[in-house]
Amino acid sequence: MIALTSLSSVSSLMVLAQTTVGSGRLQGGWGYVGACYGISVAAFVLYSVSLWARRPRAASDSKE
Amino acid sequence: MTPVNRNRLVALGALLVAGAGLAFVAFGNIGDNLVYYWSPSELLSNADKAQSATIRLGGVVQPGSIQWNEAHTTLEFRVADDAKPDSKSVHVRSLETPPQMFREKIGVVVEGTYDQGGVFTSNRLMVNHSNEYRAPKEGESPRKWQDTLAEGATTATATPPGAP
Amino acid sequence: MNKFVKFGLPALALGLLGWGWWLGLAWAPPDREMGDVQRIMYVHVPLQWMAMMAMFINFVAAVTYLLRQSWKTDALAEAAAEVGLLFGTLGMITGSIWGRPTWGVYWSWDPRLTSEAILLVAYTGYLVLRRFVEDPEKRAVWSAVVAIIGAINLPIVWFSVRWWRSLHQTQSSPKTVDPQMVLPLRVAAFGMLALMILFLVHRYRIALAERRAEVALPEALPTDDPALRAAHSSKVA
Repeated sequence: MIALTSLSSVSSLMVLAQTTVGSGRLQGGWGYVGACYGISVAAFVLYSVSLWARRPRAASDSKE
Repeated sequence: MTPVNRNRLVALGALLVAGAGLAFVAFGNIGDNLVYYWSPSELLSNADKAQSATIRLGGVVQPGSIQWNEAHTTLEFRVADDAKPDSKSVHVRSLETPPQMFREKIGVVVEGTYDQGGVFTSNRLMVNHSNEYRAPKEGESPRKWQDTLAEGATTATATPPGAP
Repeated sequence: MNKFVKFGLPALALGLLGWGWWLGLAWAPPDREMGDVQRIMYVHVPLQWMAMMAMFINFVAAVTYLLRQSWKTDALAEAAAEVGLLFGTLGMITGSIWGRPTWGVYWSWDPRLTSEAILLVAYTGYLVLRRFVEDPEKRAVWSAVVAIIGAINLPIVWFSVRWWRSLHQTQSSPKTVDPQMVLPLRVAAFGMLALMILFLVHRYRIALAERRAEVALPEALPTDDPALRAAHSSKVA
């Protein structure tokens, strides 16, 4: 019994030492999330500005 | 011919070309010529063709086959056709730290070369995720996997060297 | 209608998108395996859906134009292609960023990613073609043909993950996604839909005004455009 518990604690220490290779769990990564949302929002804002800049002028303008 | 009729003919022609193109792609077996990765059994039965070229091998990480040496960042595991213990598999050696998603039974695609000794040397290891998205189970907290792993709460841990 | 486009649609788009993203970023649980990175789904997937929808609108408008000539359908086709390209490009960028932590790579030439790249190139080509053909009528017919043939990329992209082996997973469904994740995805998708329609309406108005100006002045060459002429003269001066 004692041997068993010590074995399991050793193996869990090893798991810790191996960082998380083989765990199959992704940790952190908020930077990637922020980049995705940030890029999308920025592109939407830029595109809105471009639509505004290209907006059709009043008819008097085009007939000058 | 009036422009309207001409345009309708143009539409018909374009739709026919598009339909034919799509049918060709869908049913023309171009998938057989453009294989993104080989399965382990395909690789094993075409071992001579696979050698001396960079190829991709895709499959499932065989349970219990992961051997990770942190000091040398060498990772060895077997890629199998599926998660069954007796399915055909190929020994893979990789010299990089795998993505965090890497675990037993997960789908992987490795890029590299297959040598005579039957070892696939990978210089690019990719993990593919399934189409399932699930909330953590009761008591799990994905932000603290390190802790839960230390408590031995999950089964998907790395196999310690020497373990059966 | 005008009032709705001016105030209602932007409010709807911002409201739904804000709500959906709040649900996705703060309310929904992280994924069991992917953790918080999975939250990229609530921006990546709606972007790709709306890109496909805009490109499908482009296809329908192109066919309609050829069957019954009208500057409206030609303008709609132009608008839809540009909006679709914007959403598709963003979808590819966010997908690539998502790929780095999960797959381990930003890019791989797998069937889904390759076909998506071809799709984006095709619609870029469509817009470039429109720029280079000066005669509005020829431009409309030729680009409609390109639009119809280019649209075969849509089913190819969609089915690529089922027809061929790929790194990208197959489509998810409510069966494979937990309800707490389906809700933010749906809300964000409807918000993205409102935003796509908003962009589409404004881009359509620009295109239609350009078409009408072109047709009203048959002699007009591009340099006769007041804006271009101003730019040109300032360059000379």
